[in-house]
Amino acid sequence: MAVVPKKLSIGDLVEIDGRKYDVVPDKAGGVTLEPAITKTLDEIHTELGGRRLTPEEFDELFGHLPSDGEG
Amino acid sequence: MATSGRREPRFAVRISASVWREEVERYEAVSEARLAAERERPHLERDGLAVGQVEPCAEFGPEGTRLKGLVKVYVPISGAPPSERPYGLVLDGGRDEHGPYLALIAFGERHPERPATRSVYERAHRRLHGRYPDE
Repeated sequence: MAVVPKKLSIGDLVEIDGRKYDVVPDKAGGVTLEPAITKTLDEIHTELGGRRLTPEEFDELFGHLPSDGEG
Repeated sequence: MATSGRREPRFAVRISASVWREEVERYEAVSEARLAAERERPHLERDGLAVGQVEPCAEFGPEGTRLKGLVKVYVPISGAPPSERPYGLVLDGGRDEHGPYLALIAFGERHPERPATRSVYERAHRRLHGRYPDE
C-alpha cells in the first residue's frame, strides 16, 4: 500500500508527541517547524487579569528610554 | 501599580503559565537557555523590573521585526555587557486594578547560531502581529 504523506502548509499548527509546532519558512526557501505560539497579546493580558497599555500610556512610562535598535 | 523603589519606579512582572510553556519549556530541561530563564524567574516575580533595567524594542528591527510598544531585557539580567548576555525577554506593558505591569511575551536567543532558528525578536513579532516577519 502506498504511503500517503500528510500535507502541511506554512501557517499550519501541528502537534507531534504532545508538542505543538507552527509550520514556518526556514529563511532558505524551505519550511521548518518552530515551537508554536498560540496566544495573542490580548489573550495573554486577559489570562493575567489585565489589558494592554494604550500607546499613550506606554510612551508616558517608557518613551523616554533609549533603544539600542537591535530588535 | 508601579511600585516605588529607593531610586526609581519598578514594575511588577507577570508570567502566564501558557507563555512560560511556549517560550521557556520549548527548550530542553538542561539547556543553557532554559536554565537561564529559570534562574531569573523568582527574581522577576518577587522584585519586578526597574524602569532603568528595560529598554524599548526597536520600531523597525534589522530582521524585519516591528516591535514598537514592547520592551526588552537581556538575560542574564546583570550589569555585564550585552555581548555576555545571549538571551532576551520581551515584555508587553499592561494595566490592571493595581496599575501598570509588564507581561512576558517572548524569551529566547538574541542571535541564534542556526539561521533557521527564530530569535526572541522574531517570536515577539509573531506574537504581536500573528506571523513572522518573512511570512
